[in-house]
Amino acid sequence: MEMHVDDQDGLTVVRVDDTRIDASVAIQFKDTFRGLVSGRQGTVLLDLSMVEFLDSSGLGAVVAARKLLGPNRPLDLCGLQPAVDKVMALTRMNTVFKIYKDRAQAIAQTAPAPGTI
Amino acid sequence: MRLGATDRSVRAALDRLCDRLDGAGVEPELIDLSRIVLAEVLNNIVEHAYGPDRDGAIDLSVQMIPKGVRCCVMDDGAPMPDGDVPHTERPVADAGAPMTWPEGGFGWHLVRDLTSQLCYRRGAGRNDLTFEITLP
Repeated sequence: MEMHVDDQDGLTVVRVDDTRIDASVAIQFKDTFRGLVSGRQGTVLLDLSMVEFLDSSGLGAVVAARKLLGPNRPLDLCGLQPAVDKVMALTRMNTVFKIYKDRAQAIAQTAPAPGTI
Repeated sequence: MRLGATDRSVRAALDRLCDRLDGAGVEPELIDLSRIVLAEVLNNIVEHAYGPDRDGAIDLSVQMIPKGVRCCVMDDGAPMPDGDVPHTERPVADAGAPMTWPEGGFGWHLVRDLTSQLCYRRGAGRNDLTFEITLP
C-alpha cells in the first residue's frame, strides 16, 4: 500500500496514495501507518484526497490507526471524496473525527503558529 | 458476473461493475452507493459465508430499474446466522473516548441504510440476497 509522510508546519501529514482503503488492504494500511508515524509526535493529519473509496473494513483500519496514536494524540482527516464522505456520515464517524476540506485548511487551523514553543 | 470469494476478486469485480455502470450512463452518486453496498455484501460472503478456510464463488447480477439498480448476490457458503440478515446494534463512538471507538459492526447498517426490498433466502445450499439501491 502506497503511503507517504511529511512534516508540514509542525503537523505530521500522512497521505494515502492508493485509490482505495478496503478489506484487501486494511491490514497493510494499519501496518504502514504505524511505521510512518513511529518516532513522531503530535497530531497526525490523514490526507485522503487520493482515496475514492473506503469500505467498513477500511473505516475500521482508520479507527485502528487513531488508536495506535494513543488517547491524547489526535488523528484528523482531510480531503474526503464523495463516497468516503458518505461512509463517514452514515456511520456517524464524521462526528468524532475532525475533518477538514483539504490539507491547507487543516494546517491553517491546527498547526502551531510560527515561533511558539 | 461470477467472482472468486477473495478480497482481491471483490475489489476487481467492483471496479468492473462500476466501469460498466459508468459506461451505461448511470449517475456517479448511484455508482458510489452501489459500490458501498456491494462491497459490504461481498466482503461479508468472503469473510463469513466462506471464511478463511474455504474457497468458493459468488454470482452477482445487477439490473437497471427506474432511478436505481436491483442486485442479486448468490453464494454456496454457510447460511446467515438465525436465517436472516444480522440485526445488530448500531455501533456508536464516544467523541471523548477514542480508544473505545468501534472498528467494526458498520457493514450491515450501511447495507440497510442504503437499500430497499432487502430479502434473504436460503435454499439448496445457496444463499440468495436481493435488494434495490435507488436515488431519492
